[in-house]
Amino acid sequence: MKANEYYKTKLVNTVNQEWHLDGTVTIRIYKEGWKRTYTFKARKLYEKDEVILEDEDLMEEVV
Amino acid sequence: MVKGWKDFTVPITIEAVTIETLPIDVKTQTLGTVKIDVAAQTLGQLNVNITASAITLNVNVAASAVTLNIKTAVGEHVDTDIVSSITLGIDIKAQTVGNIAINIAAQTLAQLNVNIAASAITLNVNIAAQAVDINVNIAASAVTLNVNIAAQAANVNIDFKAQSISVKLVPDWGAINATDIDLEGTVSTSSGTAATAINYTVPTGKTLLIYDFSVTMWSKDTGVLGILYNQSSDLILFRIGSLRGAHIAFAKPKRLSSDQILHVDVVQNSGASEYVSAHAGGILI
Repeated sequence: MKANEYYKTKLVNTVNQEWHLDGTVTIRIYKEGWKRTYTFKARKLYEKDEVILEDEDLMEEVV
Repeated sequence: MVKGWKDFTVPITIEAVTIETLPIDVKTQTLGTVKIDVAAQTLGQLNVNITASAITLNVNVAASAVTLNIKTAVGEHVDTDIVSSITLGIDIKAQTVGNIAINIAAQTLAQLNVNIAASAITLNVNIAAQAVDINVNIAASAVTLNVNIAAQAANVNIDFKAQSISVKLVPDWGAINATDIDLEGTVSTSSGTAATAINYTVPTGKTLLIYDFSVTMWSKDTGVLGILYNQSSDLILFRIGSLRGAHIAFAKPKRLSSDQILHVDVVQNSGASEYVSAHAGGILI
């Protein structure tokens, strides 16, 4: 599962959002028990024409 | 023993198919043991009237179904007002027991010990006494204890003596069980212009309760404002602002329902572009 999908559908414990001047946002997520954080980058987050620019694969057991 | 006669034994064997009435009247001062074995297929009624001052009555019933009515000599049910003390032992080893109704109307009841070793049980206890002390000792490793008190006045004393337990509120349990969430966002924003610092959609099936909210300027002691906004319902939940930063812990949490969007805008008036951060902490239930 990709970090973006997990973020939007599952429970995470920590979210860091960094909003850039070009309107994109870098989001780093972490859930209790994970070995590390995961990051994805989006333009127009949650909007109809949202574009995912970068998206890490989760190296964790997804439940 | 007949007066003046030696002890004797009189065996009596009755082989009649039916006997309507068999009256036996024993008036001896003492009577050692009377054995009565009734092997009849059906027995309409067996009346036993005992007027002895003290007696032990052992009744062993092996029937598949039996109704056992116990009445005193005055026709009342056995209770602690009639006999000075009574020990009532009930040992149920059935695999399943439907309902057990116990109604105690005694004026005083010294002690009622209930020990339940069942793996699962629902125990409903309704007490209408005007005054009652209830000691509940639970040794189970996991338990759900629902207590509903309808009294107009009640004192609830909770005494935790264990070193390893404490009373935890919802945010504490959220952190312990990892259902908490910290949403942190940072944006470089022009002076006087609102900018998005946090944008988050509540996962389907979850409810977000926000317990604290803060906004922070990175490098200047100028005014900064944070706006907690439910984008889905187009409602502002809370605004907070001050010089350099501000924080609040909500006594009543802000709620966002499943699939609703939490949006945090920040505004600063330093006269130049500055980094501003915001934080919303809560739990997902």
